[in-house]
Amino acid sequence: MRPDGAILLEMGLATSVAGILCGAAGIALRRYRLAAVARNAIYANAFLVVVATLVLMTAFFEHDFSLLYVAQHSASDLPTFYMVTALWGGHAGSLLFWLALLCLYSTAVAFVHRRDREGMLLPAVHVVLLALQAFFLYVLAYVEGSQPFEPSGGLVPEGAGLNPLLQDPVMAVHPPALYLGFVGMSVPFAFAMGALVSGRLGVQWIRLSRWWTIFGWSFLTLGIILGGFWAFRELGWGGYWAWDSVENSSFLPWLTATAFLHSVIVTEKYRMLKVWNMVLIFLTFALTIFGTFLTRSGFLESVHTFAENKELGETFLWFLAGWFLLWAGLVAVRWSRLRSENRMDSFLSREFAFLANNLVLVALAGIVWTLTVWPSLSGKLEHSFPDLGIRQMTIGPATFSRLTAPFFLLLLLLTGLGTGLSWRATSGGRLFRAFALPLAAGLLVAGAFAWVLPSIVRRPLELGDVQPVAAYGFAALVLWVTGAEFVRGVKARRKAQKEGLFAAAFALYARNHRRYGGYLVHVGTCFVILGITTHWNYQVEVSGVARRGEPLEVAGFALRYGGEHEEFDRENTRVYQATLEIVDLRAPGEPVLGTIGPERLHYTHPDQWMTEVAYHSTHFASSNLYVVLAGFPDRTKVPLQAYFNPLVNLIWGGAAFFLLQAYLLLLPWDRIHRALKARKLGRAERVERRIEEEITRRKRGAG
Amino acid sequence: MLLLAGVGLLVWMTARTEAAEKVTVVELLAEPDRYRTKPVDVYGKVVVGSISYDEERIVLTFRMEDDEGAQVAVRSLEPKPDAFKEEGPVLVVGIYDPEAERIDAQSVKAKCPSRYEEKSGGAQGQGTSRQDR
Repeated sequence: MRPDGAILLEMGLATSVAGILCGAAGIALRRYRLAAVARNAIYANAFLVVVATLVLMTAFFEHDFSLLYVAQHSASDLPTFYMVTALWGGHAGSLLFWLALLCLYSTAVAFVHRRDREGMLLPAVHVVLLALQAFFLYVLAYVEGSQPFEPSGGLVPEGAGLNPLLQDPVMAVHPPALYLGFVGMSVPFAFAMGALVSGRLGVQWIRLSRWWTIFGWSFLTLGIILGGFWAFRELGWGGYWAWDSVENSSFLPWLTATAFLHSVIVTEKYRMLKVWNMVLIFLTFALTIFGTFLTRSGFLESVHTFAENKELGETFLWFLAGWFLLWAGLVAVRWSRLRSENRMDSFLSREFAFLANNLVLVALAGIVWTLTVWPSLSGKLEHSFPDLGIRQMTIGPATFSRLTAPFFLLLLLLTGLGTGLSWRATSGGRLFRAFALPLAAGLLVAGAFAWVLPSIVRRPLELGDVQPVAAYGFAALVLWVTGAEFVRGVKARRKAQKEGLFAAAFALYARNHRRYGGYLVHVGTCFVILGITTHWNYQVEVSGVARRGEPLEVAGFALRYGGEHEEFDRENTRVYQATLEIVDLRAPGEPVLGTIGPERLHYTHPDQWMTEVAYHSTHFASSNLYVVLAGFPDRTKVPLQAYFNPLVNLIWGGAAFFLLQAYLLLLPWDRIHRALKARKLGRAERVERRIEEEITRRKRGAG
Repeated sequence: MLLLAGVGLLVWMTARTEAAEKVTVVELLAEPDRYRTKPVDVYGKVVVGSISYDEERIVLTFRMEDDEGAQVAVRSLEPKPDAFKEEGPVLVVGIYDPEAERIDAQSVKAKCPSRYEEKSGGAQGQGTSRQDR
């Protein structure tokens, strides 16, 4: 017999409240043992919530349609794999999943830092984490429409089925990754609040929360990238990012978290930007909550939104408002201790480049946020203040892209400049040495790109193509400056430590992994931006019909149809597939590059049609030809929507490299390096000892 | 503050020139000339029996109806969205052509009523099949 999940959640709420009260009292009275109750409450909550989550998952596997949530988001013919993804397929389950992750994060934080003694910092962190848990437990236990264990209230013979869009392997990873990112941002926020509460406002809270920040940020990045990848391969519109309101709500905290990751470096080094850090981490946390508010409140319409629930929306807004007031009050109280201990000496310094990068990231966040909420905000203004003459407006994706593109370019340029500049101030000589060659390389690459571009994008260059050419030039600048930093570092180590090339490069990375790992993340970013720029500017889209003997042409490729099509069953879908040959009309001899089979799928639970994209990689796997069935094929013709996506795979390749580097940053490189060094020293000592023993033995033999 | 002001100004200027005005079919038909040059964003239901999809030329035409029962014709040159169906909710962004008495759609989003869960209160849930550029 399964335990009652609803009771487990109520028990969790009671535990949270007890933990918060004891923790707060312990902090106020400075009694560690009392404050430690909060930590134990975190452990207890993790157990209760994880069991509640497993109860819901079991209900899915048992097709227990007596639970409304299970009946709404699964069916008995749903493949087993998607029973797991059904957990987060709707509002209440995804909120439970969010809470489970928050509890696991909290437990990990409490356990990892159980021996850290930083005054009342950690007990305060525990109380903040418990307060966050308590909110979600309250929503799941008491807010109507948000209860995952609500009974369906009658005999339900069959479930409604899972949204077909979620029946994709990427969807098994995208939401959990995104949630790990969103929820992960609660940890540095809890540390910041803990620092404000306990008055430990030095750099220790930043150092303790750094790993968690990078962890959450990496998963947020992974979630965003996977979302784009899923949209590209599943939605069939030839793109990966539509500036949809919910896509934006995942991007917004990423922007501010990225700014935070950079600004704390300046704080750790020179004790500056302390208030700014507090602002950034609060914004990041608030934006993660705002994201889930957007998805669930009905405030905006989007491809991702769950059902409209105004009560829930208001609850989220009150929750955010409460945290804002607490945060602002604490910042005001601690204001004098949050002042910078140093000043910026020069505009030509790395810290100023970091600050500029921060301002651009925040400006980007400001633009995206305003454009995202404007449709709803303008509607509310129109209704509330009709005399103002404001009309409700919606803003299309092209406007987002056009407005944000210059900021992305500026960010790319600042990435290069920041890497090349010195801390505090950069002398004229250093400036010349750092940037003369990279600038020349940038110009050269921009020129070379302008020359090569027509063959990549399969059309002549136009006068208006300034932006992609600039992007390539700036990317070359970043790559050159980054490469030069590595070369300089390796050379210095080889000279000082007499190390070989690989040993020096490894030691350089291992001993300064934050710096050099960060540089490698920049390299990945360059490729992502190049892919996006090229794809956005040069994508070719063609709609039409391919007939027998009359292929459809797209960007110099022919889609040749010989009448080959079939209809068959696959798991819970009926599949209609056409087979097409791809011919490169611009290559000598017009070779056939391969065949593809775009599909239309019919799901019975729920009754819905879906398109399944087919694509073929070109230009050394950097680009692709992307084909969607626009109707049903017959023996003579097939209606198609086809896209040529130049350099689109640079986005995925660059993102994979970016993510690899981000995750590598999480490894304990100092310890790895020390262990390897000790092993090497041990081996050298053993060899030396053996030589000495041999010499002694020979001496004795000779004697 | 300067940064905020700059961002606000940029967005304001863009919103004035590029944004689509959200209107009902009634509002659109009452002042057709007003919307001749600026995009409109209209929400409604697909009228039963009005869908015509030319697979060869990829032209989708249909009529949509708002809550007050007013109807307008729509033409889209994009493939029919997966979730597009009779009586299904639809979101159209496009330019109204008063002479042809129809909206030339830049984007048609078909909202699937069966997707996700019911709104609290029993209204239809959301979920959008996107066919916009």
